[in-house]
Amino acid sequence: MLISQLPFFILQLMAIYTFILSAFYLWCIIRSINAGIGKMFCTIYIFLFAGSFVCMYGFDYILRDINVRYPFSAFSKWMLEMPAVVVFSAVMLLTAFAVIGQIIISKRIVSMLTPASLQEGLDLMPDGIAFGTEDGIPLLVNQKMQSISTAAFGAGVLDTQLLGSRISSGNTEDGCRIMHRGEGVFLHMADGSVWDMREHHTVMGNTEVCEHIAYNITEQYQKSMELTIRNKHLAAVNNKIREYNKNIDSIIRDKEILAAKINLHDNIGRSLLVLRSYLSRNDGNREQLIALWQAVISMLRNESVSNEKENSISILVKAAQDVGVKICFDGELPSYKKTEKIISLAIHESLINAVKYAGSDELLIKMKENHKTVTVRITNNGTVPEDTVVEKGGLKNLRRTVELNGGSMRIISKPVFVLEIVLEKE
Amino acid sequence: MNKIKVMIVDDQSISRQLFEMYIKSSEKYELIFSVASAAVADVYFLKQRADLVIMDILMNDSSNGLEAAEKIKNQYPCTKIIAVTSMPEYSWIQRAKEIGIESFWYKETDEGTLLDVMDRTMAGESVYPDSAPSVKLGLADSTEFTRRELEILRVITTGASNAAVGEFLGISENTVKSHVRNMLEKTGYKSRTELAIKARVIGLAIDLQDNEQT
Repeated sequence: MLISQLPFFILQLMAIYTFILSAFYLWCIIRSINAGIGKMFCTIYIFLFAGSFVCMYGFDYILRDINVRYPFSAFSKWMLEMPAVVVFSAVMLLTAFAVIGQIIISKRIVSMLTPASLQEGLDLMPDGIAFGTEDGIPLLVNQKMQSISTAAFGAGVLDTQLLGSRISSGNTEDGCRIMHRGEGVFLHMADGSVWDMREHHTVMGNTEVCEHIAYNITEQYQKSMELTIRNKHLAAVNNKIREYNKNIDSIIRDKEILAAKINLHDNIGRSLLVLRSYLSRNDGNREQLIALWQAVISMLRNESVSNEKENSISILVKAAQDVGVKICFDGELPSYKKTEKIISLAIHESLINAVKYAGSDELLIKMKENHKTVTVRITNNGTVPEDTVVEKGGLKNLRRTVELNGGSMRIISKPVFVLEIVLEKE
Repeated sequence: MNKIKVMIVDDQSISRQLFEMYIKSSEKYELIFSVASAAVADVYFLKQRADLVIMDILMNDSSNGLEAAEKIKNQYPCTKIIAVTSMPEYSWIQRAKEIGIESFWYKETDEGTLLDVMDRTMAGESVYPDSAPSVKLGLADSTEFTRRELEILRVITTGASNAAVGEFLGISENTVKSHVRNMLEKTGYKSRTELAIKARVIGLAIDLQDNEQT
């Protein structure tokens, strides 16, 4: 049977059917392009579309010719003389391709990484990401970055360069603010979330690409704030411990005094027992007993301990006196604790060296102060050193201590030995 | 026979007088100096060298008896030294041995008398207690603490943060926190502060360097 022998309504149905088939194949072409399925599939679908389109066009032309005019056009004539089986078979084939093709495409799309799946994946990320060219043209922006940009700057990401400059300038919507901490840029949103905004420049292929990333650091930021508060509290507690440590000596001193007093009390107790035994039975050595009581009484007399804390220099002066060395001061001793300690150390070293090596019995300490510094010069009345003084041991330690505290030290060997220290005022 | 020349170095006058009493009660010993500060102990050697020094470790004027002992040992190695203390700070025994101090005596807890220790020391014996006296820190006995825990405790008493403690001892901050947690569990104390203060009060953990700076 030829096409021309088919009933009219069959021709109409075939025309409609091939129209639908053409539209379907057009959709397939678009879908395969979007899915990036591959040139082969796209090419096949283009041919199939062309085939279905020809069929549709052919039937449409025949129907128009039948309805509108006579004789038929050359194309209609050619179609009409074609066996119906051939055309039916072509259409069946196109339909089969449609069904099979869709099954294949659907399976492929599920397992393939396509540009669409890439966008889908990025949109699912909890962090914001935006790629753009160096001119600011967005290449890939995920939903999160769009929503961050809209909330913070009142507009989505249409220009990545503009996004970067908005972040740098810090002009944000009400309720949002940008903070810079070192190299970090942190975006605080109105809803309380905090984002670490980073910008990188890289080259992909031959294109320079700018990458903006927004990491959600809300939880870490809150914990960091809590940690800062805790650390401040700890620092305050540690300072209290330091202060307590300074005062603990007096507490320990009292404890030792108590222990010594208990010991004394025990000695008195023993002495009383011995005395009682001596008096009641005339038993014991009288001289020993007297010596024991004399010792106890002298201790009781000396029991009141002076609470005055001598400073290190006065202790040193007394010690020098005890060993037959006089220390004379010209000028006022500074009252600063650190300076006093260093001067005490200098006097100590000078005293030892003066007696050991110069045989001196007198040290002269001259002190001069101006608004910035304190100068201390120590000399002695002993023999002048024969050679240049070599610093070792105590003098070396002294120099290290002086220099660590921002001061300077000088030793002059001739014509007389002088140790000079210059210290900054506290 | 020449008497053994003894020098006492102790900042507590009552302690000094007790020691003086011990020495005067013996015919073997002669007291040459009784000094209140370790800082000037070596100055007295300029006048007369002592054969034996009884050196208190912790001084009220922030001088350090162990440092003074080391100085004397370096300059006068023949002089024998007995370190004395009432503090149970464990590291001082080890430090004293490192310096070469001949003997070590705990003022309140050692069963032997000081005279006995002096006699044995001058006879050439090195008299050291087996360990620091045991003291109670909260619910724990001081012997329950490990060496590392006591090291950490000592630095904590200076007011250092956990990070600073870790840096000083060459361990991580987390390790410090873990040890502090263990110590709090052992002692039953509620806080690090309480632990540090109580340890300092009983003398279990004393940082002599920090003591010098106060």
